Amino acid sequence: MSKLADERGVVGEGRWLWPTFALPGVVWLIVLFVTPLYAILAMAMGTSDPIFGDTLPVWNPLQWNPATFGDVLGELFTGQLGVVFLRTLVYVAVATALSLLIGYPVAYYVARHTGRFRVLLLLLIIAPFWINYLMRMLAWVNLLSTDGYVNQILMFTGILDAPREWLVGKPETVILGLVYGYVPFLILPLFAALDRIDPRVIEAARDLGASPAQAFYRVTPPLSSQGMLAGCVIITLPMFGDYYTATLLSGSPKTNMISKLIEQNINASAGGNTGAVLTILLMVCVGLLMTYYLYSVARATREARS
Amino acid sequence: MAFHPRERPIWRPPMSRREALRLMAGAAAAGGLLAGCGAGSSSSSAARVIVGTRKDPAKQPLYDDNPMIDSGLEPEKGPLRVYNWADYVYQRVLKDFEKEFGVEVELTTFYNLEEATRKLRTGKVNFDVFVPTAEIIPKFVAGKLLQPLNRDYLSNLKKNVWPMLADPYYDGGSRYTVPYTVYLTGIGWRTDMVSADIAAMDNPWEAFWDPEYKGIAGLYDDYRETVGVGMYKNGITDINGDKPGDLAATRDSLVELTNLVDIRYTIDGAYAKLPEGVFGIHHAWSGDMVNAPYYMPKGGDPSVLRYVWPPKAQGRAGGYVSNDSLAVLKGAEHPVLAHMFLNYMLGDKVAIKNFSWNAYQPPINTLKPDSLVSDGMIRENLASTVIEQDDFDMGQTPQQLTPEQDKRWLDAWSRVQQGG
Repeated sequence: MSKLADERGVVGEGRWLWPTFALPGVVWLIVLFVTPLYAILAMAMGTSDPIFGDTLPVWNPLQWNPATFGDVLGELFTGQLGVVFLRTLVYVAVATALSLLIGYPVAYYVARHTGRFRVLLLLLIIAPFWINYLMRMLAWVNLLSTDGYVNQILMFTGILDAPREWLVGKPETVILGLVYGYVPFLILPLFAALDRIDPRVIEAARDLGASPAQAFYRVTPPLSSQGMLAGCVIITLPMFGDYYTATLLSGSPKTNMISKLIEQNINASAGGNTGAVLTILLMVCVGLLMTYYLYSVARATREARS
Repeated sequence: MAFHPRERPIWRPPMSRREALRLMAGAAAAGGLLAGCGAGSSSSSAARVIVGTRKDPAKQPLYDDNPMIDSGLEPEKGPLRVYNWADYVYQRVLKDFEKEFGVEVELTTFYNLEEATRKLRTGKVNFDVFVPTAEIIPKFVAGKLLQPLNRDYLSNLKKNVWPMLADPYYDGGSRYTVPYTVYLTGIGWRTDMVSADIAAMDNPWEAFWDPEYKGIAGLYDDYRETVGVGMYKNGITDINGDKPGDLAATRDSLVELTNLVDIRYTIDGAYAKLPEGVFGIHHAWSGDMVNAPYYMPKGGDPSVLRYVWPPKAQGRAGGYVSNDSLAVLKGAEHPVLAHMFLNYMLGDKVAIKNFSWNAYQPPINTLKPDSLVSDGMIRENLASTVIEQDDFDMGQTPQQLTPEQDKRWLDAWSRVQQGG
């Protein structure tokens, strides 16, 4: 690859032209990703303002103070903080799995069976986004209240004998909120992936003797796996950073996710260091997941080529 | 630092934009983390944070490079730029001021003190008037964010304001601030959901540890206030300290609440969700309880609401009492007009008009506790929300913690928020 580029450079005019196209992207990354990341590191290792007591960033790495890192890591492995990380991971994993279960049939239906209504249906899937996320969560607070519609319906249908207290620190309520909030983001990339599958491939499977079910699960999921993965990544990332869903639908420390702790620390003058360290830990955690994603995309691309 | 939800508009439906906005302010604060980086430190090593206490009052230092304005100046043409908590001043009062002085008033609001402090410290905002808590004033003076007041413009201060706050313990001689509102932190409950008389308990704070209230008990999502509840429950009244034993006991007590009563942490629990019946008992600022009846759903009975400030209960338990203040910012472009605004807000009629919407009581002499109830400004069943000057001797005033203390408080709080 680089050898090829060198050769091309020797040949002439392409030497500066092509890298120039990368410039906007590189500038974007430096300004909006690398610099903030460095700022967070500088906060995590920073000092305290003598008067205001809040965290001041230290820009010179030689003067960094890793004490807060040590404290937080200690708590992570010996204290309750590890539980919060684990809780966050479980909530996000369950919510993502549920979103996939709900989103896949929807995306499949829209991509395959809706004909000329598909644009309308896609619009309807996105329609809730015209309403602010917090408003929609506040609507759930009303629906899930003790005498709200959810309890009324469940009691009317005989599923519940007595109203259930959904909003008193229940993990399932928080997960439901996450699923509801993010599932449309999963449907869109899935739809795009499913839409690209050539129907003739499935017909070929049928011609070769596969039953309808076999033709589906041997062909469609494998061919849409990149879409599934992309959709999952797209919803997983904001879920990790979500603190208000748990705040609104629960308010109990039992269901607090890691981002709530970040928010609380950053909103207090003495918590800047800790907030920044937690942010970095969360990034590492999410980064590992992303690495797996990129790795599997690369592998799939390789397999597709060979 | 900690934030108060100064959010109690009477005319808005219970589930309003305000919570949403507050939450978004939290998101914005995350951005503020980065913004703060560029701010740098506005403090110099020469300045010291001087904290006055009730026992040991202090005057805030004056600095040569931070002079006050001369006497007898004409007010500027405006506009007067006020930087205030969200929903913490009656718009009509601002309109009246506009009319009387022939200027415009521009109101900008904030949702927590951290956000506001960061913004002010950049030095790139040009507000004239700010509303600091008594607790944060020492930091603001040391950081030279406020300008000293010329009391020649503030005739209403001595005339109308409670003597104790006209020369307050945290800012002796009112060098930088005048008081705006006073508040208590106590407990609100509903008699139809809580059978016991919380006010008759020796230590009302212990009610939160009563399993009978499982699922209907709430505390403020605010570490400066709520770690204090843990202290009071353990009989500790040194809410401005950080003895390791005290903080550990406090932390453990609060952690226990998570599973014992399914405690929930809210910011709108007292004024909105208590009247809605979501909570039966909630940690409550006095002003939030004054507002609560207006959030009662249709058909609800506001006479079930009760309030106790534990220092007035039989056992004389602890309780926060404090005040907010008005100040002129150092970088004000309209300092004379700002002084006149401060004086205007201390006018007794104006202060009472403002209270009728704002629900947080001004420390004004003519506002008599008895008449507040008989005039119908406060319901009889909530008469215990009324604050008197002597209350400052019964409760504890939160004072600025040192950064190290503050960190230990926050760490205890973080542990509580991680769950049982």
